Amino acid sequence: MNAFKIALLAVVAVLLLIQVIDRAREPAQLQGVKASVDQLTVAIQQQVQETRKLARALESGRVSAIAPTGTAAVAAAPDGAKDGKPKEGVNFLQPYDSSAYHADQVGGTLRYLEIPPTSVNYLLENGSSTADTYDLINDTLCTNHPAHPLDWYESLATSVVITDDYKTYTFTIRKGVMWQKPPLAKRKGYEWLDKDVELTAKDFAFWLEMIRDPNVQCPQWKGYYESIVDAVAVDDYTFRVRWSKKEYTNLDMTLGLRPLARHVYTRFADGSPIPAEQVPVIFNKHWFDEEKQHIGVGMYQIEVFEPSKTLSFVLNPAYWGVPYHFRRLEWDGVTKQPDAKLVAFKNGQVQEMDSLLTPSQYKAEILDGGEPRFDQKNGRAGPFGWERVHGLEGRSLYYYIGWNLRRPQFRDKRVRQALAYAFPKQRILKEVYFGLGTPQVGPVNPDSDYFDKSLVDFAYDLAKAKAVLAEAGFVDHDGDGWIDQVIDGKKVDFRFRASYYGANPNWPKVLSVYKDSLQQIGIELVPDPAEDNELRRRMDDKDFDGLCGGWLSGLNVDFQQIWHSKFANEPKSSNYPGFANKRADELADKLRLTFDEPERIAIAKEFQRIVFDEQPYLFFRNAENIFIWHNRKASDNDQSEVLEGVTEGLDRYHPLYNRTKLLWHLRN
Amino acid sequence: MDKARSPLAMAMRRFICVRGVVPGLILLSGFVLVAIYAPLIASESALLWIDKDGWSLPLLHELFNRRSYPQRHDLLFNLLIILAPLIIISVLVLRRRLGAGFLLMSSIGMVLAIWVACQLPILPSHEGWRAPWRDRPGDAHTIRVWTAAAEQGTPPKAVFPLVPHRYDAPYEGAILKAPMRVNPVTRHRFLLGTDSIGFDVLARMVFGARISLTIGLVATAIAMGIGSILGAVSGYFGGWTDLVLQRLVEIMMCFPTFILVLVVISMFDRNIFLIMGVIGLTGWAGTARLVRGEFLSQSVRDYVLAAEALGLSRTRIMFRHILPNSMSPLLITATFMIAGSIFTESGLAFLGLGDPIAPSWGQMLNQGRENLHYAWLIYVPGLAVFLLLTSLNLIGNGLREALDPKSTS
Repeated sequence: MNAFKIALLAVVAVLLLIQVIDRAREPAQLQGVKASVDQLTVAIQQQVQETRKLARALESGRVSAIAPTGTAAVAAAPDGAKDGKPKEGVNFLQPYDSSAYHADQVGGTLRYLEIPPTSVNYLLENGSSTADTYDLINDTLCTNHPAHPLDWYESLATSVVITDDYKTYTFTIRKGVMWQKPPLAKRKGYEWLDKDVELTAKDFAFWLEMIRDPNVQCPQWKGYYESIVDAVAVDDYTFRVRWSKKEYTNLDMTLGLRPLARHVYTRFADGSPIPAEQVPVIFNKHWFDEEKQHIGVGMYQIEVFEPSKTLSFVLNPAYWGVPYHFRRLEWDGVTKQPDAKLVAFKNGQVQEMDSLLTPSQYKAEILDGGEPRFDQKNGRAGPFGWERVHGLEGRSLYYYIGWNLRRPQFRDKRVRQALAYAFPKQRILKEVYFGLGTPQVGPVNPDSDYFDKSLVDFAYDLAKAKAVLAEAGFVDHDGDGWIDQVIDGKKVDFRFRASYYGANPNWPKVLSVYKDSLQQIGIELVPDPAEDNELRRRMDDKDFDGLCGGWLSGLNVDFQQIWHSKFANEPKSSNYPGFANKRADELADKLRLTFDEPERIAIAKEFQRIVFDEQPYLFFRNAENIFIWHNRKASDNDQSEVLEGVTEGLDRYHPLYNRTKLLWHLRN
Repeated sequence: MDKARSPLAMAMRRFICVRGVVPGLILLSGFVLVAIYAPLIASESALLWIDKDGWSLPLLHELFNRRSYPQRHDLLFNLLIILAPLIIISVLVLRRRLGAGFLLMSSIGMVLAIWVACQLPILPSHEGWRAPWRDRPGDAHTIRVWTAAAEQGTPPKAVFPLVPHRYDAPYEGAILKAPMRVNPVTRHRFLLGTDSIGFDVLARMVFGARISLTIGLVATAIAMGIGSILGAVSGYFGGWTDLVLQRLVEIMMCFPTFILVLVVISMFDRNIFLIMGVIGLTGWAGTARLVRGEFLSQSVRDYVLAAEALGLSRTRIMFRHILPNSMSPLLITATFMIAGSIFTESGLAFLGLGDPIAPSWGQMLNQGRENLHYAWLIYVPGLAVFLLLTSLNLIGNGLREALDPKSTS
């Protein structure tokens, strides 16, 4: 009987246990069901969006047949939401990619020639070298792929949701990311810095708070964030930014936000807190900057910093993500002249040339075989490696001569077109740049999806140029050999000065060839070199005839800054020529409000056709450069730590330029 | 009995006898001749052109055309092509009979007449010669005219200068050509190669001589002019005037001239005449001191007292009596200053601060620095600068010895 009771009790106990276990599993099961429902919702939303897009495309006649869809497309939809393309209501960030990292390949020191900035506080100093420094020591909320900037990835934010018609951005901040500890923390009196501080949403809010505070002297940043309503840390890991209006450019500005070390910049040197109202005022001359310190949450931390002279970095041991493979980086800012840089490279002082070879160095050292250590044909084969690189980090540098449309001789677009016909572009690319570059035909990066491939460049034709000028009224009326015309009751001889930066060795060559060409159709060009400050003044005051310049153009487009007529007569605006076209203005405005990619592309293409026809710039050259590196140590006696433990050769692009090429230094 | 000699003739004789003066004079004369006759040495236009329509002198017509020679000093040098021999002949042959002033005026008149003649269609005029300078011959145009004429069976006869290339024409396909390579456009040879823009180095060297000499003379003339006037006033009047002017001189001397020139150049346009002006305006302090010293010693001499007793104006005493007697040290300084000015301009251009259009030797050296593997870009202008400065220094040295009062005995 007892045995029966015991068996019964055992059965009841087992049943109870099963029940308890089942109860315990219930939330997990529910969550699983909820996740499935979420995925399905996302899939449906995406499907609806796709259908709308398709409908619009069909309406506009861009698509003539429906692409095959079906079960495969539906199944892929949940992941499809995280395709990196900005959209409303869902987290679209692609997951952080760490596949290119090899922990066993880390080591060595990479020394290269780059002039360190005067200050590393990116808010107060916005030079390109400060930006480079900041990329190494600090991260952004999200990152975009260098080659595909329209694809966004997780970084310090693990998710972002855009709502309220692209006006509100809500981020989830990655947990467990720690602030670096500055070298100063080891000094007496600064022990309070030697503690672990976790990154929170408040650090991002603090960055924006400083930018937006009128007492903080960072005019270069304020313009971008003028239309922010508020930026708040909802809790430690939730950060929300609200904008007053929908604008496409806000996307980059929000997803690219960085954190600022609130725990340092809100304190005095002894660790005591600065009263809140004094923080922005003191920020302009903070003790931490005076000590030449700066910290971030990035892969490298600053080791030694001598403004404008040297700057070295070491890997951040507590980095949350995937760093570069070099343990240390050293910048040499003492060697500045191109010739001296090349000598430093040849002597093994540096492992690669950050500033790349100049065209004449390329001709002398490689094409003409001046430096036998370069293999002329196969760039990677010699003791020194070289490679032709096009664009940096998805951006390309294009050069132009901008015409001042306020000057009478440049007012007529036919004249500007004639100037394009008279420009021997191919010859200059071949003879001045030795083939390092491709013709630029419009204001958009040719690698971008927005680029209009249908544009056909003006072919060099002096007879045509002369005819077009005559059509525009410019002929040699007085027989002095120079063409002229009466404009506004005044005789205008076609003579102009072309301003350029005097230290650039290539512009005088370009202008010499162009001058010779223009001389043959009766136009006098006077090359007019200027020093840095003088050139800046001429650009700001629009005091030039022709301006030789360059723009770094990304794969994404925004035309307002350079081309909108509202900036045409602003003293310090970037619309140097004073370009004003009603339709172009409409398109530039529309592009800002459009998030749909095909529509954006269509707008951009129409815009390019207008600018190409108007020729406010003589679009000239899309730059290519020669990147060089050491394939092995400078000599057998060289005891320096040349990429020790990593590899003997530097094969790919500059690691700082192209993060996706983390394998760049591994031999094939 | 020895023929009586004037002090000037005696000084000349002593000057010629100083070692190094003759080679210096020959070298300098060579540079001056090259500078004056540059268009006859290096030009795309033919000296003489004969075709079925007749004969013409394209180069002569081009000499005073601003489009062919846009630099202002070129016009002056081109005038000297005709004026220089006339002056020399006048001075040597006809001086005693007709008087120098008359000859000078008449030669200027002749040159002007020739210039006017060049502007009028008096000389044979037809497309054969007119086209080349209208449309820049070295390029395809001349070739077309030439070949078209040849195809018609009437090839033109032409006499070209030694260097049949323009100094300011970048030739297509001729970047960094070594000496003696052929111009792919005109089929003429580049005797001293080309630079990194495609300019003929020899043609640029020839026209660079004009720039160097102009810089030397203009800058020195400015410095001498200012220095002489301030030095004269300072030395003659003495007292407070002297005190103030000498402090001004000391302030000027405190500035490192080259740095001052660098600063001024970077603030304004890089025009070759501005550069000359700046070099001149910053280099007068030494001259002012020298002239002051001379005036201090001369102003107590008897001839000055006599002139004052006669009631002559101070200006007349200063500039007609004392200054000519203080010329010898000035002349010596001027020679060295010409060399110094040329050197300063070369230095500026070498640093990339010269006039980007002017074919100066310093600019060419700068190109050589950028293209170290192409030796002709460094040696050719470097040698020219060296030779010109050496010749000027030799002459300056000779003058110093010849005009030294101690060596008169």
